[in-house]
Amino acid sequence: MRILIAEDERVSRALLRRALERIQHEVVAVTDGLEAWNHIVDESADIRVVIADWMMPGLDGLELTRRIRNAGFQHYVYVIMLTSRGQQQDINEGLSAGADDYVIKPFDPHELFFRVRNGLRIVDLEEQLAARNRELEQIAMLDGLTGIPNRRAFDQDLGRRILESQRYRRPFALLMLDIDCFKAYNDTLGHAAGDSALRRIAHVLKRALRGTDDVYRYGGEEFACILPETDEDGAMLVAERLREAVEREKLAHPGYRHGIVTVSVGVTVHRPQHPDSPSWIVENADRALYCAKKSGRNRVSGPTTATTTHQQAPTTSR
Amino acid sequence: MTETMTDCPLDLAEALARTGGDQDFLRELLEMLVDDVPGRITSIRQAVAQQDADTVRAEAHTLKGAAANLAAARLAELALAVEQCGRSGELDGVEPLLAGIERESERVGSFARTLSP
Repeated sequence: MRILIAEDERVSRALLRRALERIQHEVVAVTDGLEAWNHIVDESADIRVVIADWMMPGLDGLELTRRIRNAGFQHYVYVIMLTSRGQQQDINEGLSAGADDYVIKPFDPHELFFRVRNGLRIVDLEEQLAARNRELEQIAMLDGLTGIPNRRAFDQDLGRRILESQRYRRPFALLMLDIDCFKAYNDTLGHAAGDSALRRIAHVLKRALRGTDDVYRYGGEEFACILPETDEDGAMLVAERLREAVEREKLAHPGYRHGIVTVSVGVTVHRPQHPDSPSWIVENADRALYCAKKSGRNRVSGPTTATTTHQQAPTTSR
Repeated sequence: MTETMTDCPLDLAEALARTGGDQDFLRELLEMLVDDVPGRITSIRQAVAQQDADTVRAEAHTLKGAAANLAAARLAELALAVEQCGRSGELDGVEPLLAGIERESERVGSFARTLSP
């Protein structure tokens, strides 16, 4: 974080620098408004507090303030205007243009120091708030129980994957997984055991996927996986691997004829030649999942609809 | 210090308050102020010759600010008078004021030299 002084007159500039000597941040001084603007838009300069003289060549303090406020920067830039004594109209214009504060010349060095320190406090607060917001945004994308991305993240990512698929002319696959007879699991073992099983399955799926694949908790006992750059053959292999991985965990499921927790998987592939809406893609995967359930559970079912390149009967492994 | 208050071209107490009580720094700034005066006067004269009232105003405004920063009241007043000429466009009044600024600037310079280096 740096402080920028924009002042064309060197006595004033030297006084400003001296007044800010005890500030913990680096102070940069420039002699005209355009130079000031170039520093402010340069992200690497990290200018967060600007002390701008009202009258400057190139771009005056007022115009500089207007530009800062209209720029829509990611971070807040605190602006202190320097004006000559008695120019009430200047002060009003400056504040209305978006200056946070003003100091009247000739200024007392202590006053200037305190005003800049107050500005830094505002900038700090804004930064903390922004960091907290980023944190909350991330939390909002995670499922509280399993810690994997949630439905909100899925919706967002699926939309992006469709656009990418179209743009780069590459397919991607979507898997929908459902824990078999999970209601019975909860009914016989209780909801605490159910939660623990969900966490365990989420972990197993995550571990069994490739690095570029993503797994989401879609809702209830349903999970979704997005597999970028993956065609039907690849998707069927991955889906089968996930099914096996869950089976290998041998999580006791007394209320179910298999005796252990298993998943059914529906597979669909999105091809750029046949762009579909997110809801249609999910529906395709759901249809395949329904087939897997109907044909006995603990199995993988492939694409079943006319959106694939060739019409085919439901392919069910195992 | 031998000067009486009326001889002093600036309010020393106030000037020192602006520099945090640092005499050396004040001397440095006064020298800066005085060093810049000939250049400003030259550009004001040129601007008067070209009937460029806005440059007269801007240059005088900057000089006024610098002088006021260091509590050099008389110099600031003279610069303000020039600034007002620039603002009103009555450039005939500028030249006599410039002579006053030159004299006052010399006084500030002599005073600066009396401050312990």
